[in-house]
Amino acid sequence: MRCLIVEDENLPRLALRGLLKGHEIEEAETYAKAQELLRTQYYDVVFLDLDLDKKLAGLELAKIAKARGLYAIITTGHNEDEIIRKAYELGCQDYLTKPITLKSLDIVLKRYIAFDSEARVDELIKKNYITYDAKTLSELNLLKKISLTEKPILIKGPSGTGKRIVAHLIRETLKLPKDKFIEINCAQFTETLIESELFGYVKGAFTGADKDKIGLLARADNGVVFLDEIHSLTKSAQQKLMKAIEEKEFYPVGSSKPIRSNFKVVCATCDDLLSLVSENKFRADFYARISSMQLELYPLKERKCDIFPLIKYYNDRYSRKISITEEAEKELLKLEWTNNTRDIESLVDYWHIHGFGIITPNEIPSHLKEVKTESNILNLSKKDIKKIQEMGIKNYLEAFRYQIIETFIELNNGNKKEAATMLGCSKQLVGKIINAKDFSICRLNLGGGFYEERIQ
Amino acid sequence: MKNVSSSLIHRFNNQFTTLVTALDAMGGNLDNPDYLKEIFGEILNKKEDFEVTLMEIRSILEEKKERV
Repeated sequence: MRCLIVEDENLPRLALRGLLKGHEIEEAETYAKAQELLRTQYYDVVFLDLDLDKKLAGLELAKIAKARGLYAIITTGHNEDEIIRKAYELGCQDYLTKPITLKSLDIVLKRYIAFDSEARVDELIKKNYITYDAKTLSELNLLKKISLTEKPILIKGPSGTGKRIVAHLIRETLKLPKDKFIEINCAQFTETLIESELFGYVKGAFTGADKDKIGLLARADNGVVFLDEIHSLTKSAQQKLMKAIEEKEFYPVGSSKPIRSNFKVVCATCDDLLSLVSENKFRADFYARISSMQLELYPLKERKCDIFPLIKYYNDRYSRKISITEEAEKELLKLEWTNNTRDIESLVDYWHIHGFGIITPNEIPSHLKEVKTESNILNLSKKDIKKIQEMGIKNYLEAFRYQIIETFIELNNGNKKEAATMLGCSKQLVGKIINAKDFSICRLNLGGGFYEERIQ
Repeated sequence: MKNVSSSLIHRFNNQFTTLVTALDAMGGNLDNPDYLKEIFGEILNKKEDFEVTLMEIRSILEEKKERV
């Protein structure tokens, strides 16, 4: 456990260090030093003396610790009700009156362990992501396992479903300081620029490179690099990034000297990466590298139970109140919410800007009511149709199934077990289909175009 | 009668409880002579402060006894 002891007197500081033997200890004797450490470093537990070089400075420090999500324990001789209440209000988790003994310390450390467990992540989710949808909550539960793995995490979901919020939740779950969470939107950069941003460059690497620049991957050492809109990353950048993820080492543009950085990757996309892989627009090996841990966020039309809590959330930001009629509520449940929470936020803003007090169906703008009719007709190409006619539906589907499995095996570098896990079926079934003989196999380019036939 | 000031009570409480913590810490580090040496040195540094507090308390108690 990493602990910070903030205490201006030598003897109590030394005594507490002795009680905490076996843990990693850092010490601060002044308010200024403690403030600096609390803002820049990460600790599991922080012991704060109440009075330092500044009276009741521990309360101020507890406030900083709370903002960082750190477990702060006040250690003091004060036991006045008013101070105790203030300390808890400002963010301390425990208030220990002296003498601090092995026994009292054991109790608070046990409380810290409980605090740090799943309940803490549950609390973080509850506070930051509004959802009552069981499917979404089950996806968000993955956050509880994040600290146990170094593997990249892929957040999938349509625009406006809160992928960025989840990425920030990952930072909080890992208790990283803000400067160790490096965020980049891949869609904002051209191919060369994104490489300079990610890997950095050295002076003279290209025209205009008049000094060395540290890349984002280097800045994310012992932290997280969040790559939003990963589908926009060029294949060349994907290849370089994949190597950097695997080796935790990379070369800045124009440099022959490698840089080591222990970064964790979190990616987000609103696109279907598997389709991009099949269209050869995204590297299959890079997809395999970044997708072993996936977290999927669902559109609002699939989690209608979240519509009213979200309306309430955005509405609570205004001091004026509105009332939604039953008819309007029914109407709201029918909407498509194409842009998900962004649509809800705009709708609430629209109601307030127009000064509506009672919301009836008439106060819902028409563009939100335009319901797209879903077609049940598949978008098959002429070649697909021809192929189905030639092969018959049964053989075509078998070939289709074979190709899906083959693609997943390839995505998992030939590992049938991992492919089966991703497909949600048994390894035996994967083996059975892939080894099956006596049926026609064709290369289908789903959605039309190229295909190649192979008869066994 | 001279009252025991709250600052004296606070000082006494602070010093006495620190000593208790230090003793507990020493007990848990009997296998670490470097630590024992360091903490014992600190206790010695504080000896004068402890004596001052003790004198103040003694004088208040004696005064109280005389009045009784």
